[in-house]
Amino acid sequence: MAISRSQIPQQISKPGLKRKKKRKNIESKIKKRIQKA
Amino acid sequence: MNQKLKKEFKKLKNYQKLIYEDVYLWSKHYLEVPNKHLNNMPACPFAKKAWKEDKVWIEIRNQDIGYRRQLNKLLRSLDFTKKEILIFCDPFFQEFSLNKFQKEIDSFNNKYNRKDIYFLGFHPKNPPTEEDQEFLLNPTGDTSDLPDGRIDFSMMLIQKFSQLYEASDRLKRMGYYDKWPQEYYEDVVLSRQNLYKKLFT
Repeated sequence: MAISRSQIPQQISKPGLKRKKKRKNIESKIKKRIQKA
Repeated sequence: MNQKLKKEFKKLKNYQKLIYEDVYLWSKHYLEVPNKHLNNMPACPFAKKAWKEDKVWIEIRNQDIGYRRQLNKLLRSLDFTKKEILIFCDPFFQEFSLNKFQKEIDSFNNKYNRKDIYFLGFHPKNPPTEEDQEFLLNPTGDTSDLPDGRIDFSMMLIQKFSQLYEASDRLKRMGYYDKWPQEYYEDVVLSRQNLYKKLFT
């Protein structure tokens, strides 16, 4: 088991910011990565 | 490992020692080595110095205390003049799905970013992929001497936001991120840098 690590992508929605971007769903992103592989 | 760290290390329980070693080896073998995918720059150009100067503070989750409660308590005693980074490791990470853990990171960032503290999260269910992040998987091109992990845990890396922003800005101007995978750069660096500018400049 390798100990390499990848930082979880930044969540976007922050209070106080004028524009709120859509929340990135990490689990769906991982599923897409697996599908690609 | 310096003498002070060695002394602290001796007091730890076995599973805590495994975590401590794992973090140290990850830094040595993945973050500090010249990375062939990044023009031989290390994945974290500041890691080696931070360890050498005893600026790394590792804490391990106590299952008897809630995750937030323990981390909030640690934050109250965090002094960035003494330690540059707090690494909060949680071997009981199964309590948190990836999405739940991501919400925790977000919640801490929402609460503390304005106080000049930034949180970066790592979870065993979010490993790097060869396709997207080879520089994190195989930094030197030789995987034969890479250590194996012996325990799974999540990590929250806590740093001074302004220091992180300024260091990252310097690296950007040096062209350091030119070789980073574009999507990973946008997800973990650019968004953070933009947020800092919106909050503080």
